[in-house]
Parts: sequence; structure tokens; C-alpha cells
Amino acid sequence: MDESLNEDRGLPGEPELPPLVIDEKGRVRTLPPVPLGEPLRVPDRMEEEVQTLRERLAHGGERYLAKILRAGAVASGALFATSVALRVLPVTRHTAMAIDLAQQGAVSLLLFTPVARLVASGVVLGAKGEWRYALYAAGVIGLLGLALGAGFNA
Amino acid sequence: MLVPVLVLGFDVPISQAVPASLLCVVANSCASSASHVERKLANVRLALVLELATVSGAIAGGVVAALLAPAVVAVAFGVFSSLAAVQMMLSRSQQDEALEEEPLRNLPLGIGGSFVAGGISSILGVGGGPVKVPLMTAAMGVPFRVAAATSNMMVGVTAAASVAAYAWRGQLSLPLAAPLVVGVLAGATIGSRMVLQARTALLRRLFAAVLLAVAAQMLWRGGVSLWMRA
Repeated sequence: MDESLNEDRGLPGEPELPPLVIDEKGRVRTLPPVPLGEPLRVPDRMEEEVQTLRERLAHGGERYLAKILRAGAVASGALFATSVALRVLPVTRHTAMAIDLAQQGAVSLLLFTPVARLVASGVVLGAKGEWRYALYAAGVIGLLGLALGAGFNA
Repeated sequence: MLVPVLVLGFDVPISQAVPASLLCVVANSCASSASHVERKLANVRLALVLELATVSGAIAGGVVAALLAPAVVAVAFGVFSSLAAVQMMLSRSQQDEALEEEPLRNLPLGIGGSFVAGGISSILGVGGGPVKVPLMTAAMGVPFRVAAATSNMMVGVTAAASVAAYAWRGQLSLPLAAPLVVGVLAGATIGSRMVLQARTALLRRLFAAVLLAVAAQMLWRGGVSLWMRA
């Protein structure tokens, strides 16, 4: 758009005039007025990526939850099985340490998995626009933290 | 179910048997829920609503535990579980074989029941499944398999919080829990694949049998405690 065409158009305090442009045939024309309401915006790259991620989360929701649960169960099971297998070996300082590490890693993973599922449920349902359920998920996590902090067995 | 086997069959102290059993509950919930969620057998939204009520009930149960006699609660829970088991055995619902989601009935009753189930879990240290599955099927109109899968998914979160509390107090024996969890994970993975092939009537009867076993355990525990006091 040639900016010089639109200099000094209209007086202060008067309604703004539609902008002038030169079309491909060299004629001066006015642009069609922009409808009132939401301003026209071209989504930037980041916005598009966020939208794509949101759509992917919403469509593959259950699949993501299943993957989290399965990964947690398999990884924890493998570590527990390793610790059981290591017990067959003669007891040395190294094997005892390895058994201890495997067991602690396994139990941490196993306890983290349902909480991760809860967080993922909230994120997936939030991405679908179901904010009520995302709030419920946040509420459950908050209450569990409270229960744990207070020493209750929930 | 695992606690009496460990205590009576393997002379494991009950203080170690309970957290080990709870860890197995978490393992079972994670392994089987993966398949259930993938096949849309577990209702994620319903689980979130009822989980909120259950955890609130568990906290309330923890607060009022000192005011209630656990033996009386155990007997009441035993009686309820027996009645629920009989109802499960006798009922033949038309919606049993259906899996598609239908509009929920009596959601406030379901929320209230889950609150009570959370309280009972907290006072007696048992899972909320014996209360929640009959509640979802009989009162809320949820198909049996969906109710069982949803309850199984929910129990993982609350059991994980309980195990964390036991572990925090140093009461979780990992050498005892490790082989149990490996077995439970294998069983849960196989079982969750078989659940769609099994007839619902058979699953219902199996669940009723487990309910009766839990009821007998609770009635025994509560009855002996009341008898000793009298």
C-alpha cells in the first residue's frame, strides 16, 4: 500500500476515512471497510503450533493416558524384576546397592504414574475445552497433597 | 485379599503386609487401566468427579477416625458388602453387555457414595471398589465392565497416596513388595486383555465372590474386636 496516498486524509475529530490503495491496473481505489468487531489478526507461527498441539492432545487424549500408564507400569515392573533377579547373585556391596537402587527407582516410578495420569487427564480435557474436569484433576492433586502432608492414608 | 494371605500364609507382620498390598493395588491399577483407557472402557471424566469426592471423603474419614470405633465401621462395611454381593449375584441387568456411555443417573448419589467410600477406606484401610462398583452399576446406570474399569483406575491414585504415607513413615518393605508387584503386573496385563472376551455375568459373579470374601474378613475383624471389648 502506498502510504503517501493516505497522508492528510480526514480532519481531526471526524470519522476516519477508508484507506486508499492503487490496484494492479493503476487505479486509485478505497479498501472495503473493515467490519467492526474483533480486529483482523494473522495467527503467528507460535499460535499455530499451540493450536496444533491442542488439537493433537484433544484427539489423542485416551491414547496419551494409556501410554503414560503403560510406560509407568512396564518401567517399574522391569526395575522390580531386575531387583528380584539380582537377589540370585552372591551378596556383595555392589549387588546390594544395585538392588536397593532398582527397588527405589521402581517404587518411585510406580507411585508417580497414577499422579502423572491425573495431570495428563487434566491437560487433555483442558485442551478439549472441558475446563471443569481440568479443575477437578487439579482439585484431586491438591487434596492428595493436603492428605499426604497431614499424614492421612487417603 | 492379599493381606490375609501374607499374614496367615507367610507370617508377614500386618504392618508390612498392608503397604505391600497397597503397592500391588497401584501396580494393578496402572497395568490394567492402560488397556481399559485405550479401549475406552474406563470413563475418565466420571473417574475425575468421583476421585474428588473419594479423596475428600478420605480426608474427612481421617479427621473423624478418632471419634468412630473402627470395629463398628468394619461390621457395617461387612454387612453392606454382603448385601452388595448378593445384589450382584441376583441382578441381571439389560445394560450389562453394553459398553457405550449413556447419560448418568443419580450423579449426586454417586458423589455422596464416593465420599462415604473414601471415608471407609481411610478408616479401615480397604479399597473403595466394594462400595463404588455397586454404586455405579445399581444407582448410576453405568455398565458393569465400565464401572469396574473406572473404579480400578480411580483406586490407583488413592492407593499411591497411601503407600507414599507408609513409605514416609518407613513402613514399606521393598524386598517383600518387589516379587508381589512383578506377579501382579503380569497378572493385570493378561487379565485386562481377557476382560473383553469374558462374559459380564461371569465377571459379575467373580466380583461378587471377592466382595463376599472382603465382607467375611471385615465381619470377622470387627466382630472379634467387639467381642474382645465386651
